[in-house]
Parts: sequence; C-alpha cells; structure tokens
Amino acid sequence: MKTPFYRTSDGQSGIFFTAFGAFVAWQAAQYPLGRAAQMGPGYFPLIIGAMLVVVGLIVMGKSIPADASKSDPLDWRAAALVTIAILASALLLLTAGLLVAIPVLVIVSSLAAREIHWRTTILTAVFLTVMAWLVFIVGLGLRIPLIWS
Amino acid sequence: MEFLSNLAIGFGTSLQPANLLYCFVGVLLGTAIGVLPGLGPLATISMLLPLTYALDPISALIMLAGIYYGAQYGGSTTAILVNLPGEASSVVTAIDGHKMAGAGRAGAALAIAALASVFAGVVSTFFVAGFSPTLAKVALSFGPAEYFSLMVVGLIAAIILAHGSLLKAIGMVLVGLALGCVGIDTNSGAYRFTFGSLELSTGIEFVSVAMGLFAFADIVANVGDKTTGTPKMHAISRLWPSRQDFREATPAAARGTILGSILGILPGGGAALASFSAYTLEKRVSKNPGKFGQGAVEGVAGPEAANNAAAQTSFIPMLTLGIPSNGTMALMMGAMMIHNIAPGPQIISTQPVLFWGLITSMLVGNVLLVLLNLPLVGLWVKLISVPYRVLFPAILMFCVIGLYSIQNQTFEILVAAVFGVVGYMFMRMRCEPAPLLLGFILGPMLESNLKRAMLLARGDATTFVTRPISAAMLAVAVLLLLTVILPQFRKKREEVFAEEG
Repeated sequence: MKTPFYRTSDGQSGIFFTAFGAFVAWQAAQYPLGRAAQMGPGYFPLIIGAMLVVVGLIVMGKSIPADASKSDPLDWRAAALVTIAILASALLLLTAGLLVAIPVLVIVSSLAAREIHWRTTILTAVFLTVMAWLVFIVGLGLRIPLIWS
Repeated sequence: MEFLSNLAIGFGTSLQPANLLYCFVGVLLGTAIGVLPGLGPLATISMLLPLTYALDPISALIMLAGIYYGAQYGGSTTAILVNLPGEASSVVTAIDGHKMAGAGRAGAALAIAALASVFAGVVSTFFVAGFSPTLAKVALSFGPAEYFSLMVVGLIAAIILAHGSLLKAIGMVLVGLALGCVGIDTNSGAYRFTFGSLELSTGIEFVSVAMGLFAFADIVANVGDKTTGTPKMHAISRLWPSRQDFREATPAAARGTILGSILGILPGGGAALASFSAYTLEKRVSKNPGKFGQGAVEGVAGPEAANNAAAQTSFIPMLTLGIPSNGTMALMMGAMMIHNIAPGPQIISTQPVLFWGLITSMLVGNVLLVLLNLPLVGLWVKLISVPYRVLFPAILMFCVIGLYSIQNQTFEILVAAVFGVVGYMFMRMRCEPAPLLLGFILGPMLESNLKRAMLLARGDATTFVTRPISAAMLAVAVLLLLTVILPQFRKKREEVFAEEG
C-alpha cells in the first residue's frame, strides 16, 4: 500500500510551507502595502508569503505520486519532556531561583531518556547547579536570584 | 607597505595579554565543546556566545573566532576517534581518519589534521588580510541594487549547497526571510507579526533561533537513542607522524589550503564545501586512488587544510560586504551586531583596530590551537567519552542561562523552546535548518536594500538588470540555478551528498 502524501516527509514539509506562507501572506495583507516605488510594511512579507505558498504546493504536489519514504516516527515523549523542562526552568529561574530551576531542568529533561539512572541524574543535577552558580553568578555576575526570598 | 603596517596594527591588538587570553579561552572552550559528539560549530558558537557579551567588542570577536576554529578542530578529533562527525565539514575527515585510527594510527591522524589545519590557517590569514581591502574598495561603489542582487546570489548558492531537496531548501530560506520580518519595520515604524508582544517588537532574537534549531532540536532527536551506551573509541599510541606521512601530507595540505581559500570566499561556500572538494581533488591527483577510504593520509590532510582555510576566508565576504556566506558566518555576523558592529565595506577604515586585530588573531589562534591540541588530546578523549545522559542536561543548562543573559529576561528561553520543537519537526521532514538561519539574518537587509533600490529607480524593477554589476550578479544566480536543474550536474550533486550521508 502506498503511503499517503501527508505521512511522508516531503508531503509534510509541503503542507508546512503552504500553511506558514499563507499565514504570513494573510498577516502581511493587513499592513499597508504601498507601491513598488514606496513599499509599505506589508509589501515584502506578502511577496515572501506568496512565494512560500507556491514552493509548498510544488513540494506537496511532487510528493503525491512517488512512493516516498514515510517520515520517521515522532518521539512525542522526548519532545514534550525536553520542552517542558526548558519552559519550566524559564518560569522558575526568576521566581524560585537558580537552585530550583536548574535541578528541575536536569531532572525533567533526563526523564526523556529511555533508561533513567537516578543516581547519575541527581549527581548531574547537583554538579550542574554548582557549575551554573560558579560560572554565571560568581564568574559573569549575572543577576539571577539563587533562591526565592 | 600598507599591508605590513596594517598587520602591525592588528598584532598590536591581538597580542595584548588580555586578548591573547580571550583567544586562548575561546580556542580551548570551542575545542572542548566541539569534540562532544554531535555538536558542530553552529551549536557550539550559539551555546558559548553569551559568555562574550560582557567583553568589549574586539575581545569578544577574537574569542568568538577562537571558538569557531576550536569547534571545527574539535569536530575533526571526534570524527577521527569515534567516527561521529559533528557537522558536514568533518564528515570527510572521518572517512580516512577513522580508518587510520582503526589501524592503530589515531595519533598520527590527529597530528596530521592539526598540522594541516594550522598550516592552512596561517596561510589563509594572509589571504584574508590581502584580499579584504580590495574587496571592500569594490564594495564601496555598490548601491542598494547591487547589494540586493549580491544577497540573492548568496541565498541561491546556499540553497544549492544545502543537503537534500532543492525546493525544501528554498522553502527554508523563505521561512527565514519571513521570520526576519518580525518586529518594527524600520521604514514605516509599523509593528509586524508581533501579535501584541512587546518583546517581539525588536524582532526575534537570533540566538533563540540558532539555539532552538541547532541545540534543542538535536537533543530532542537524540535523547531517545543516544542515552544508552558510550561510543567505542580507538586508543592513541604514537602522536608524531612518520616521515612517510609527512611526505604524503604536505602537498595535500598545500593543495587543500589553496582550494579552501578560494571556495571559502564564494557565496554559499565555506568549510563543508571545501572539505568535500579537497577530498575529491586528492582522490583525483593521487597515483593510487584505491587507498582512499582505507586510511589515506592525504584524505585527512587535504580536507582538514581546506576546511580550515575556508573557515578563515569565509570571513572575507562577511566582514567586507556584510553578507555572510553560510550559516556559521550568519551566526558570527549576528554576534557582531549584538556588539553594535555593523560589518560592511566601511569597517576597515572606520574600525581598523578591530578589523586587523580580528584578522591577526586568527593567526595567533591557529598557533594556539596546535599548541593546545596535541598535548591536551588525552583530555579531549575523556570529554568524548562523557555519556550523553550527562552531556545533554549540561547543554540545556548552558543554553537556558545563556538565553536569559541576552536581555536579562526569560522571554528568549521561551522563544528558543518553540524553535526547538519546530527544529525537531524540520529534522523529521528532512529540511536542513542552516538556510533558514541565513535567510533570517539576511532578511532585514534584503528588504531594506530592495526598498531603497526600488525607491531610487522610482518603482522600475528593471533597475536590477540595467545596472551592470547587479545584472552580472543576477546572471550568476540564474546560472547557478540552471546548473542544478540541468540533469548532468544534478546527478553529481546527488552523488556528493550520497557519499556524505
């Protein structure tokens, strides 16, 4: 059985280019366009968006007849955990402080690994927290609270 | 004699103890991060960039340049020892270098790579010093139409040299150009694509884009598989190559240097293209082409010399025209702009100390690189064997705090997290992210030059083809595109990338 085009890597990238380009063009059309001699803020992005739509449609079209390779399985777990770890550390950095944000970053992101070694993870968290403190707060003098006060 | 006095100004800056120290630290850190499997120069530079914010511009640039060639060399070390090239330019080194290591000659391969690199680095520094002022003089006569066309050539060349599908590379450049539009439009003051966010009004921070696409996305893609086991490594016995090795390596290094220096200047060129071409050249001139792939010394010396020479000369278009020729240079240029230095033809006359200081520091840095690398090779080996499950949290930590330090706010971290997810999607869709970064950096310049050219021509788009220099550049762009569409060359391009993949 043939892989449907939206499951192939080419098909998916074509969809992405088309959708993103359409969005850019639509947004750009809300800004004053001006004219060729006096381009307004919408002129350039509108052209770019339109070109993206064209490229996206061609990529999509070319992906339909070929029995192109199916795109690799998505590692949702890794993507979600790494992203959550980064977002959580960003939110905690100024509110809870470095001594909370870095261990959270290390521990949550380590959950993304297939095997979880708790001992290594804890040691890494401690080591990296001390290192972050030494390099960025003591060494470079960044203003990050150590812990909430 | 002007040449010598310029070099004197440069060395006066680059040999100052503080700058020597920053150069040293840059080379050291660049190598240390660059040897880590999977981390190429782009990821390394974006990770270490925040460390240079506090420095004055010249020291920061010297350190960044050091990080760049340190990372490049570090990547080659990993390629030779564990056959895990961090980026395209060390893929070729892995072919014969790793075979040499397998035959118990890892030390010789590393030494040849280091010596070929330093040789190329020193020679091409003079090339940069001699060529840049000439190019800058030519560029001073360029108007907006010429700049626009030049950037088009650069983007098209980058598209052609990207891996995989041409169309997807075009798409990625366009996505980058669109992302570059975010923020206040300089001409009209209109807010574009900011969706009410105050932080976005100054545009998307390019470090967020680079770290997201190159560091975070890579972690997401690898965290599942790489966390089990450690790479198998070959032991290093004797470091010094034999006399026979030298006899074979020297002419290869010289050829690689010349080829690399030339390819580095071309738009879209750079280290990766240079090392591939050098490998092909060595194979062609060799009396015994069969030994390539079996541990040929020339197969290490030529490409290593070429990629270092090209890394150096690719600074020429970036510094003198303000047009980066590849992703790494786009990153370097972004770094310069953070320090409020706008590269371009005026930079040599307005900032001679900075310009010549940076160029001479490349020479100093290359010498430091070889002095540092051969004795410290044991340390690099230890770093390579750091397990990934310890490594990736460390990368995340450095990136997160580095992103925070740009503006002392956490917004940049959030943006990078988004680009991490996007970058992972791109990887799965087999879309190369480097053209996006190039488009992103060039976008605002491309737009403002287009606007100015069209204003000067009163809306007549033929200005790009009636001005001779601009027309010539566009002709080059069309020719480049044609060569790819024509079947013969197309096959060749696929072959080259097949060899690499």
